[in-house]
Amino acid sequence: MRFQSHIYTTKLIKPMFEPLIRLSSFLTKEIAEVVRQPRLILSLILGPFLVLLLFGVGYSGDRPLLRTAMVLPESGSEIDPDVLRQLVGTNFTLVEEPLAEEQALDMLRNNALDVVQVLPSDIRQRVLAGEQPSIRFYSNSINPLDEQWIQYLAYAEVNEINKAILLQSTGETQAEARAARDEIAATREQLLALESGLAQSDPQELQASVRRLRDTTGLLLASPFLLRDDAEAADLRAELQQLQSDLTTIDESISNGDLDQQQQRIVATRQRLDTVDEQLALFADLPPQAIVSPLQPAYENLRGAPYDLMTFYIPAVLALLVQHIAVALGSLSIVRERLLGTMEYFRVAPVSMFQMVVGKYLAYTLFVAVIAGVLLALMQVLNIPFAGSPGCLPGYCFCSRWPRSVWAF
Amino acid sequence: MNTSRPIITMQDVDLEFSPGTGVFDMHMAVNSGTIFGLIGPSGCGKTTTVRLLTGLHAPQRGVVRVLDDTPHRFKTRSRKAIGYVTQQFVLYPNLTVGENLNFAASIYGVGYFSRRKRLREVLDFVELRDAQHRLGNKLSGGMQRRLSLACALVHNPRLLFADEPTAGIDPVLRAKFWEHFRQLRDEGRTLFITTQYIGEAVYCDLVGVMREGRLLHVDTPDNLRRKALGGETIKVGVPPEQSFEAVRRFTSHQAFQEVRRVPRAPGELYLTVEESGAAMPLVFETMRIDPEITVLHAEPYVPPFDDVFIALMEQSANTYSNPT
Repeated sequence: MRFQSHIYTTKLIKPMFEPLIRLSSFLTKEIAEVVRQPRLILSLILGPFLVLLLFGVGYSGDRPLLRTAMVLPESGSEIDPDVLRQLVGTNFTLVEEPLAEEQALDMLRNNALDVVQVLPSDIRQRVLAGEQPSIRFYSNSINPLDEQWIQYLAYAEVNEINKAILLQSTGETQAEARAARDEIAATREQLLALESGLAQSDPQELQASVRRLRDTTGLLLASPFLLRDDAEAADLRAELQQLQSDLTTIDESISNGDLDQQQQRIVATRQRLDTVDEQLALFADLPPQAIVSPLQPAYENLRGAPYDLMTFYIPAVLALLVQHIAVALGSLSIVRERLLGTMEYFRVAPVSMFQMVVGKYLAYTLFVAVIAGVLLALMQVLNIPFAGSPGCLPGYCFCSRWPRSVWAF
Repeated sequence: MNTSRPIITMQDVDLEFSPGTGVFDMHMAVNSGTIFGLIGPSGCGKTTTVRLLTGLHAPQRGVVRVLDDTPHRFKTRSRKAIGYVTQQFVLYPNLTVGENLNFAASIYGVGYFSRRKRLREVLDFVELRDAQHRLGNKLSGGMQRRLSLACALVHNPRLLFADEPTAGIDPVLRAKFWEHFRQLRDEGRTLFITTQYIGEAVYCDLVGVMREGRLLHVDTPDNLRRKALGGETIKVGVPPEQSFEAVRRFTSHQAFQEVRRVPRAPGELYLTVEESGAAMPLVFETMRIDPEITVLHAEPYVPPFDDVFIALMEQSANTYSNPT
């Protein structure tokens, strides 16, 4: 009875284990074959480091030094040359004094320059006419990274030049606003005197003051600062225009000798002057940088400082290399079976292709896990940072090679 | 020879790779417990036949049955009952003899606990026990072939296919292989063996002769010999100066179908008879009529199978060139 029971158990259990036995045959065979090739193991561990070394030698993530020359308009630059040189020199390396355009382009074609910048003429006039003149940048590069750097640095440089132009223009307008405020103060005193008793006021002096104020407000109305489209500028423009109209009427009344009939307008004009003065005070007292660049970036890295580019990419490159090794080993193993002729043997044997692929897959996963472990240990020794869990590295290799193995098969 | 029911059958089987290339009109039946030898020149279709029987190729026409199963749709049970020795040494050069054998046992699902004993038995059988720790790439050609045979036997198959297992090895080792095969046959297994060495056909119970993709004959070696030479042969020795007279005497007797002299040995005559045992007394009786002719010796002669094969090929060529 016991004997029969044993037979029954063997018959029942053995078929359950047979697929596992077949699967394990490939697992143990692949491991034994790899272990028997110490040079292969050594190359698989040293290989990634040599690749990284070559990568490090061949790749630089730093900003390239781009030799540049400027081409100025024949009428001369409207921007201060020293300021311009400083702005261009921030992003590019100025190697030549301003050149003629053809000469600069010839130098670019002969690789004596990396970038040529051609500045536009009549910037102020063209802006006031509603144009957006361009600074043209020329390069002769075949390196896509250099191309990207040039475009980015050109964008940053143009922004800085725009800012410098705005600063200069704002400064000039603020000076005009301050002059207008002085005139407003003088006119306001004259108007107050008229209000309190016309006899105490000198009409000639009042008329001169009214005319100066009208001229000054006319200048203000023409300044780029007040040509903006926003509501604040529009309000101030409307106030100044109304003030000009009032001043013209008062001027005419003085000339006609009927100023006493303008008592109400004088009071209204004086009140309008107060309003305009308040608004001009707001504008004239602000630092020009605050007007041109109201927002400034403030950056802080909670870690203190980032890693340099090469150090940061090493773990990712290692993961890719290890994964690539796993894929290559698995695929080569199947190719080797075909070349050796063993596939014919397997096709007659009771082993399925699925068992073969999974068996090999498990073997190389184990092997790659060992390589990943060694590499991780080396990274610790060499003090290379690893963002995320180190367990992700073999996990990534495990997951990413399965479909490729099937494909290779 | 065992006369149990066929374990392998082929009926009207065709497999054409390109016009005129492949195997055609294949008919055969191999009983269990026999050694079937498939002989023929290179490229005649022996390996294709083995691949049809092992399920590596599917026939385009006809029926192939092996172990009551259809080879190209073999069930696991059938696969487990088959051992296969491929034409090339396909085992792993970086594994030892023992590891290769262990791998073969694993893919056939031989259990871990029963495996060790079985590995020992097979290694002893092919006489590789002393080399079990030697790497595959350190083995001689003969040892590699023996290892291939061991791997095919490790799961104790009922049916063994061996595609030119003795190719490229020395005659002593070839004889050893055939000794192994006969031993396996005596254990009740069926062996289907292809070979280029025509002489090895005599070791088989049944021989199939192939030429240009066609199976010309399937018979026992003795019957093939008869078919090829028209009967059995008696070798008679007479003094060389009497050989012409002896030939004249023998040819005049109707029991001797053919009398041949060999130029290299003028005193030796080869007589083709229906049956050598019955014809032997007639030799002496015929010579007694002429007392001047002395018979130095007379004995049944078994011609080498190479001669038989050449004769069969010539017959086949004549049949194809002159079908009427």
